[in-house]
Amino acid sequence: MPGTYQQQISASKNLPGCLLMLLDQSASMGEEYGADKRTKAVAAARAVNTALEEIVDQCTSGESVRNYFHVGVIGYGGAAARELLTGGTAPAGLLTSGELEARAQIEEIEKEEDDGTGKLKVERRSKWFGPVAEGGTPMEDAFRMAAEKLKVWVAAFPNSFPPIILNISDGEPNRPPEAEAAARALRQIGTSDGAALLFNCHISASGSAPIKYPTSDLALPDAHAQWLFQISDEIPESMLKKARDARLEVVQGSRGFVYNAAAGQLVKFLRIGTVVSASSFDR
Amino acid sequence: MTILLVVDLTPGPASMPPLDPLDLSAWARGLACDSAGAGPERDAGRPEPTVVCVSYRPGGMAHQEAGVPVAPNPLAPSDGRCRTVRLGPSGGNPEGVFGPAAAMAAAAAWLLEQDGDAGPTLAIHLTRGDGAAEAGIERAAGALRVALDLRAAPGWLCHLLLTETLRVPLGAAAGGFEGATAAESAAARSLYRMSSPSGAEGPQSAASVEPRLSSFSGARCFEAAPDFASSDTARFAASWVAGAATAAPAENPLVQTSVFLLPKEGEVFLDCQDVISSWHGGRLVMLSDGAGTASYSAEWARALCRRAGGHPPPCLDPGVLSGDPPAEQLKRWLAQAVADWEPEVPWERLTRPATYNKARAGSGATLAGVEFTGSDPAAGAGFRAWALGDSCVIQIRAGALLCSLPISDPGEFGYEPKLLMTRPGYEEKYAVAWRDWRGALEPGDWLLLATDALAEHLLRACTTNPLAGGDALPVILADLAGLSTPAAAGRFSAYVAAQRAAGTLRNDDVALAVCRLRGP
Repeated sequence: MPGTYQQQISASKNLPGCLLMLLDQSASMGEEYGADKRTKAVAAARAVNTALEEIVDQCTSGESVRNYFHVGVIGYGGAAARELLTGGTAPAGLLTSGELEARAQIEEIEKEEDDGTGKLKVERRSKWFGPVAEGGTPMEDAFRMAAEKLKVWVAAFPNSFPPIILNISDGEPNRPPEAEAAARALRQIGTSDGAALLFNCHISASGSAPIKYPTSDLALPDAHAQWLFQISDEIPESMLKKARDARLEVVQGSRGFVYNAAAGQLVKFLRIGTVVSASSFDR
Repeated sequence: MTILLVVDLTPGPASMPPLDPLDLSAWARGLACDSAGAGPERDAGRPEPTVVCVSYRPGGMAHQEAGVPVAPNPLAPSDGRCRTVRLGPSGGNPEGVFGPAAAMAAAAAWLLEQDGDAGPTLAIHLTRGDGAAEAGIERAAGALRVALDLRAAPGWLCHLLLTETLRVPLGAAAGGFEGATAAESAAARSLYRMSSPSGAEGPQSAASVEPRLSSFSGARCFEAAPDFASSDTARFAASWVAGAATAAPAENPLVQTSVFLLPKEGEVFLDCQDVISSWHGGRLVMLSDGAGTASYSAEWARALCRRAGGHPPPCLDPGVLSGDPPAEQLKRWLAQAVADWEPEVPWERLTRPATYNKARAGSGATLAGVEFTGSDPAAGAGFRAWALGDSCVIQIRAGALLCSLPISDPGEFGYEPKLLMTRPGYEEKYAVAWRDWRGALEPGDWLLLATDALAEHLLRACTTNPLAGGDALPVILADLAGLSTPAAAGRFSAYVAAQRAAGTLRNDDVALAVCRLRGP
């Protein structure tokens, strides 16, 4: 489905954006990852929380969280995929950004910084999920569940910016051919502005250096990463400018794929207005 | 002079008589007449003040339940001299919520509809405080302040909290609400924040009308008392508005300036984060665009414009730079704007990490302004212009672009413009990015100040082949030429709507100032 991907995400014009996150919660996510020996599941949960926090932050203005986005999270581990956030008022039970914020738990993090009274400064952050690692990897099931939800959503918002699916995984589905076919079907759902975009964040235990937004799979170190690259969509031209403004290292032909890198970056493509950034002076 | 009353009709305790819009109107008319001076001066052909009253009750259907008539037309006059606006459940209120936010939004809408005819205006909100924490009330009050600021005439918003127990006199600082109940304190803080700063800079400083205020820098036009009739604040505010109108300099004899502001399509003025204002009879014109993804950006943009209106930024033109290094001068200049913005943030209500962390991260806004010089028509007008960010000052001569700063290439507009921020520490960067220059306005020239979407649109037109069609510069200028007519706001609105529909103008807030030499 060709598309322009030009539609402005707007709460007031009833043109919300849609973000569906798929979180791998299979047993293989319990393997250690990175230099600090945390598990892949910890990294994946952090990636989802960071991405959701980024979405909420973009929508927050003053005392309110405006409903620019409809958001869902599907976990897959054990025997089947399941919804991790349910009961929202948006189509298909997705949560509005305001509902998403209201569901957050508040986490207090001590920072290595004096608060002015001799105590450590405490930062309060939003958190939705903790790490889970159990059973198989029914990724194809998650893709199918996502497709069913998105069919409902695009019927309600046929002219919105197309949905974005962000899949966070170590790339080891139970049945790769079925998962690939389900991904293909998912990517055919769309709005008048273009087909849904599937972006992938690969968390690998290999400890290899991060790779962001590659244009080919040549530099990717293993077959799992290459497979996830192949089912990742190219970043549309209209999003490349926003990504470059956010100082993401994208080029023409970059795919929405990162390897051992922060998934929160992938939602920076969804910027909805003028951003305050000190680094704007460096250009 | 106009006094715009926004009145909470909630019954108070038995010892406090109910508020009657007609009594209040008579009191307001008295305020306006007293502030105009006594005796012969008042009677010397001065026009009768206009009093408009918007009344509400938190809780919705109270009017009908109480058997109070609801005017079918909310702006219908109820007597020859006082127009009473009563909002019913369907009184311009799509959500069916009927409280202070809706009333203030209606007052703002009424003011904008007057298209400048209301003259100097004092808006007074009288409330028992019950609805002071209503969702949206601060945005609505912000919209009312935008509507007051948009006109060339002075305008203020004053809040009177009517309570038996809490006393907050004129000129008290924020937080001085000891002895109040939690509800009273919350109401007082909210209303205080929504009031115009009484130390506002302008043609006539507040302190010159009310010497007590010289020691209360930044205090607001707010009072808590049991009785409105003896309110110092209302009397002071009325005399300030009237005095400011009297002392206002005559219109700039050389340059005619028209200013326009429109929110994004689908949004209302309450959501608008662009600010534009004209000071000293059009000798000083500036605009600011608050960052859409930051919190309290419109408040920051307003604080910057107020600061620039009262004290134009230091001149950093390398040719005439003197004194401290530019970064130091800018730091000092900005500090007052930040001090003006900080009390606008309701920190005590930001209890969730999302809202608190976002506000703590601070806000950002662009700033662009022009200060005209000269008073001799034969010598023409000179100007000093300054800008930082992607709000532009564009000069067009003989139908072609002469100069546009800080951006002249339409491809340079993006999502992360350079911004003046509420957080300190960026002064060195500002000093590098700041543009400060001087020029001359010749007959036939256009000097346009525009926020990013419209600036990009205009600059793109400057690079378009004039024969290419409807978005070419001569066509746009022909459209803009009509903006000096009485129906200017409508024409501008139609122009923006058409360009948005054609895809030649991004759907963003739009602020525009059009400055031209007056004709012979």
